[in-house]
Amino acid sequence: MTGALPPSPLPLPLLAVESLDAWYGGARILSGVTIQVGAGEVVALLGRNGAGKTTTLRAVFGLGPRRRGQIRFLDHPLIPESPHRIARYGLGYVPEDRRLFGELTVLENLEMGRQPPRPGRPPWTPERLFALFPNLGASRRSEAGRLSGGEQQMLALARALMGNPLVLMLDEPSEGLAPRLIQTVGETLQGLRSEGVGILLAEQSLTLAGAVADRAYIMEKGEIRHHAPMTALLADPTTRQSWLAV
Amino acid sequence: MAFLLVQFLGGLAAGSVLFLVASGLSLIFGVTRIVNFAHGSFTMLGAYLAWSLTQRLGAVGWPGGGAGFGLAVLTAAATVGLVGAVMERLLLRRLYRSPELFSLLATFGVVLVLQDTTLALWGPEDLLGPRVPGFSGLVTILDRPFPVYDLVLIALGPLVLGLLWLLLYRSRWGTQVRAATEDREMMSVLGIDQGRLFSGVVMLGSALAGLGGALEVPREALTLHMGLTTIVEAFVVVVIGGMGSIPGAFLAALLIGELQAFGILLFPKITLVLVFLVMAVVLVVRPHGLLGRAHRTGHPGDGGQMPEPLPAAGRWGRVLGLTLLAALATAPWWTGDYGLIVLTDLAILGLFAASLHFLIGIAGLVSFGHAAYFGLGAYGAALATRHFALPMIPALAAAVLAAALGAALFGWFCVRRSGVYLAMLSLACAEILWSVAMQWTDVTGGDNGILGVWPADWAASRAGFYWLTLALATTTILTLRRLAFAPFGAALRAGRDSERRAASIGIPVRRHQWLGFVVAGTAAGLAGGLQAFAKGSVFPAVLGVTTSVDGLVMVLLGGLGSLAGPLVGAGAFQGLKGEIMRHSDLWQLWLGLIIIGLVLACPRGLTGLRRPGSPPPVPVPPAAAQRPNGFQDVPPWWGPGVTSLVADGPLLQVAALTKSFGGLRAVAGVTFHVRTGRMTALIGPNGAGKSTCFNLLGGQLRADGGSARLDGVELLGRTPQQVWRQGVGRTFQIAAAFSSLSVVENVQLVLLSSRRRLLHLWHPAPRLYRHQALSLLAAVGLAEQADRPCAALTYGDLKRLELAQALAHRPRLLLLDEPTAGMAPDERQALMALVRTLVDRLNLAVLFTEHDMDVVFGHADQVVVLNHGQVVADGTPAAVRASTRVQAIYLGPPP
Repeated sequence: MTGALPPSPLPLPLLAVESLDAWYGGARILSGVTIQVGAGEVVALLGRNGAGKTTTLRAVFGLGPRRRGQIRFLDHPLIPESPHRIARYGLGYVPEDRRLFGELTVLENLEMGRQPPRPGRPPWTPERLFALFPNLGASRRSEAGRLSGGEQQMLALARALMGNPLVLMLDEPSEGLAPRLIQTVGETLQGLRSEGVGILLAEQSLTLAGAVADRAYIMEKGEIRHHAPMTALLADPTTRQSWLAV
Repeated sequence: MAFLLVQFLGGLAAGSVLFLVASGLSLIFGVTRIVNFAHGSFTMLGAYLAWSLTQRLGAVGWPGGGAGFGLAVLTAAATVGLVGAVMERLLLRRLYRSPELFSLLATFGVVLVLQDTTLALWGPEDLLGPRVPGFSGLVTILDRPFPVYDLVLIALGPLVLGLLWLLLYRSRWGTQVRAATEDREMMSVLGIDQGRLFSGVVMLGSALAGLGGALEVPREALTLHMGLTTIVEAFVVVVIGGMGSIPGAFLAALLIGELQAFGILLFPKITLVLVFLVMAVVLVVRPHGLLGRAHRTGHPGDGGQMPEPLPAAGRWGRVLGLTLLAALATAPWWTGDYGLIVLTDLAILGLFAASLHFLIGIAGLVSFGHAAYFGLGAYGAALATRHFALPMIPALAAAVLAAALGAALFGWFCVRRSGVYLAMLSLACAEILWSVAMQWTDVTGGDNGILGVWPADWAASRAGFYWLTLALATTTILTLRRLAFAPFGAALRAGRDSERRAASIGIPVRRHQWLGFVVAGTAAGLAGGLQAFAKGSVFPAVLGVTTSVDGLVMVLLGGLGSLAGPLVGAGAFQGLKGEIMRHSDLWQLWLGLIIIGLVLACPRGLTGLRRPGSPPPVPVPPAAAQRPNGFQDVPPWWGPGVTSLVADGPLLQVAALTKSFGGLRAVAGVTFHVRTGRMTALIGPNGAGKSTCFNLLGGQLRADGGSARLDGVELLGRTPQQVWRQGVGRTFQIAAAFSSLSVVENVQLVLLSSRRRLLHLWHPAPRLYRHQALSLLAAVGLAEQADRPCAALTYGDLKRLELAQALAHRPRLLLLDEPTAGMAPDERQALMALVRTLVDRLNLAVLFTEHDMDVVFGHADQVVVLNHGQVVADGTPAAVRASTRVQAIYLGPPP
């Protein structure tokens, strides 16, 4: 079932998840999840609704599920570590339901995401982000709760970028987005990749992931069932059909 | 005129001080979601500290006069702030993930500790503060004298409001505070240290409480009651203004200040009631207060455990209970008069706690004012005896009746609110009654109470009255227990687990909660009536906050998860109190510390100790695909299906259905038909409007326009219960079940609801329709899981359970929202094959949404494709599959 591991693009991944188990209460949600994300690569985490993608991302960030296993980010072990310190190490996270501060303005939402620049990288500023997402710039003083669904997704992404992440995890960023916006997200992710940011992209469909990801892990019932370069996955309809059914 | 102006200014001054205290409370609640009961005690501490500091400074002859006082006030406020920060660090921080109620109990422990600390340090006498040098004089306003100091206070309110506004809206820290009010977990994801932020907020809030207290020193005598009066007033202000809104607190504080200033003039008889009446009216008219907003609550990471099934007594539990009862019944032979008095008290408290537990643990209604019904019972009995000269038993009946009527009236309002607002509204109800008891002296005797309420001759002996109390309390507690397990109690628990799901299986949640409120109030009334006869007198304190809080402490101490909890809690509370009082004068201090220790050590209450923190491990069920689809034939008990009146026409006709959220047109003129005996798939990309369509049809959302006729009957505009009664069953996108019921009980509840037997009060729900429910479970392949708690089910099995529930009332139309999401491929096929069998045999119509294209094209007879809220294709699977437009928008560009 598990495809042979393709050679990692870099000797040392930025984010390395090894044999991660996770529980909610007594129910085991994840077992033996192993994922690596290197600098400058987009890694897709694919699987159906309920496969364990969101739990994986939350477990990496120390949000909720009880964890066992190893998670390393740069040189830092992330178990046990509190979420705010994980964020300060340079791990960014855009959750599935966006989780904007609806009563804060667009600008204030961005300010909440601000972290010190990382050495050797141009820091993200609201101006730079507004150039990327003009709609946000136009409504910078509006309450985030009043933005349209697409704009909210853009803001959630922009807010995460304000933290100048070295690795960015996104949970279904294409959900509910019109094709053109999905393209914008895709271009943004490619831009980040060219700056050396590692990206872990959890998706149900291949619409976005198929266009930008270099490698893909496929999850089912809390386990990684398949791991392949994206080109191989795209050329293999049988695998796609049996694990993703899209 | 001048008099009115002076009165008005006096009200403003009082309002200003109240605002300082309330803004702190509001701030702390907004960010930490902790209702800080100790806030009033912080105010008291601030006042006493400032008093001592001014004494010291006055003694050494501080040169600055007013400046010296100012320094004392600020020092007191800062010290209280530090105390608050320490409390956050050592206590609250460990409780952010616990249910709100436990942090409440913990802060109540802090109240007790601070109360006795203050008593030990400053003594029981009231203290009079000095006049403030420099501000001690009077100014003349329109020929009337007015204290200069009050003018300072009037200016201080807006000043602090302004400073707080600047802090919250013009500083990064303030933005963080506002953000944390909305979503704490997201803050830490963005790298912000929650702990430090919360410490800071609690420190600031506590300092504001201390400041308010310190500023009261020159105005009023300091008493040990300050804490409780202040916290109640501050709660009122915060609730009227809107929890978490600082400007709201300001408005409300001034309103309350003026209400008190003019209330004395206009309605001297009901000054105390006035404030609570206003709060009750505001809450009924504006559920979230004057300037408050509804906050979304309950993110997955925010803690809060799902309730688990109520454990039945079991054989050992029964043996233990009977042994205990036998021991209690023979008490007059093995204990003396004092012992009997203690046991009588205990029986009454046990009954009171059990009634409150019924309200909180079963109905999920957290009441802060349960004393209202206890007190109504006590006063009912006392008035019946003294004013109408009724004998004891009719007087007890009057007690029960008074409490039941009171609960019916207040409960009607209370069940319309939830969470903190419900708690505060119930508190307001109790306080209104307390005020009436205090001020309607002609009838209630006011502070002097009603004396000479003695039992009838046959129950006059200690043993006689004890037996009577024990018998009545035991019977009532057993009745409450019976109700909790009866369909009535099961429906209450289901409503608590998920109001939306309960409504969608036809449970009138509000009405049930209201009846539950009345039941709990009635039982509390009996306890109150017995209390009146036990003591021989009734005082307003039976209606007071302390009585309500004692009840809460007993219930929480014992644990919510078990019916024995309140009894254990009452015993522990009373025992601890008695034992500590015997050894120490500072019994509140020790009790407070013990409560804090217990909250930290066993947050599930004393009876929660016995049970493990997580559900038992699940034995691996047989592979789903191999499970028998036991649905061979329509079971005879199911009765004949309803045949459609519209011959050959579509069963469901949806036309021009429209719904917008804000500016987003989620569903924009959707038209399609669903036929009997067919499976219709509603598909489209995420956000296309599928779930919105479902929620419009199910009555969960209100449509902006269009129509949806089921067999000619309009569904739009109906409540979920009504839609369900029309024969529409549904499952939800995210499968879940009523977690406090077992798997089979989940189905039984639907059967009970469909046969309108929810108000069945006596037979235990687990015995009714069990056979039928089991056959439904067998039909969906869940027979082996029937008696498990729902927490032990896998996601796929939850989906099956939902299907069984949806089938239980023999629907004509089944709405399945992503029926196979989260299932393995072979499991999906098996489930859909089952649905197909049902459609064929029962002549059902099925409308389902689905992302799995194999499922859609393998099982649907008709496919409707939505995109951006509009129908882009409608036809046979083959036709839809062939449409290039559908290919492009739904399946994405070909890879």
